[in-house]
Amino acid sequence: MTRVLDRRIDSSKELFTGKGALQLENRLKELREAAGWSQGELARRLGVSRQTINAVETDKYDPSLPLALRMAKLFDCAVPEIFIDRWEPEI
Amino acid sequence: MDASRNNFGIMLVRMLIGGVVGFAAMKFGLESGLGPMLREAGPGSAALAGFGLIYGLMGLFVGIGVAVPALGAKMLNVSGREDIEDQRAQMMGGALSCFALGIGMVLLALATPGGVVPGAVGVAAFGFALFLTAMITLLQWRGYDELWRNMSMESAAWGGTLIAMTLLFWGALALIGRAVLPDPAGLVALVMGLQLLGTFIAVGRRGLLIQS
Repeated sequence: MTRVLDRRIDSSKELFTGKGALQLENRLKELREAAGWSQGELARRLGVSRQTINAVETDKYDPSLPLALRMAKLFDCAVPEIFIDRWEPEI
Repeated sequence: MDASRNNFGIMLVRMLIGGVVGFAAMKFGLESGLGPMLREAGPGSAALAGFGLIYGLMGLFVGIGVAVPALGAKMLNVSGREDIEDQRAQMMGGALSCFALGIGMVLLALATPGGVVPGAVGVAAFGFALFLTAMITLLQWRGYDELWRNMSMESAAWGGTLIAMTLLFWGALALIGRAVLPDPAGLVALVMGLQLLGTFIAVGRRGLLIQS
């Protein structure tokens, strides 16, 4: 019963906060700071708004696949090195 | 953690100031010039004029903030003047749309039968504001990046869902005689108010109410 209630509370939180069960962790801030760029500078290089970079860094928004690929190209690494998915398939 | 608490505090202070200024302006507007005219028109018209003033003031403040970025950086919910300079076109479009909707709603509220504004003028002003909003959205769509496009869609979805749920439940209650449906002005006010709430939820979900 408690588990069912917890799940309901989690899905309500997900609905209102935008932080979902499929949300990825990311190292964007770490990579950006290592490159010595501000959020605005990274946004300009990627052709998006600063708010988009901020929303990704604070886990409020998962970027589209094309944007994730651009980020990987810019930081010269693979997408899974920026976005970490802890999901494991059930065997 | 401390920084995010700080930013949350700044957001609360800005919202509080905005709320106080908005409430004072709405109260002044309703009690001075508009009040006597709206009193006869009924509560729906008063609500419509009240929401009109909120939309109008939001548009006015954002417009001033965009025109004077140094002031806007302190007054608006942005992280600095660079945000305003980067998003100048989108913010000005939003401000213009909000301001036009606000004026349209106030004129419509005063355009009830026997009101001080001729009915056709009220409907034309509100209709023009809706048309302008649709045109601004269409023209700016290509300039939006993916976050802003998602937020536009989410705000429409949240607003639409809130409007549908409220009206359906209210209609069901009215059907069994447990509620009275709002008058036409109240209906427009309800839709505009719930759409505003939907927009706040969509923006808040993406973390744009608290700047970092």
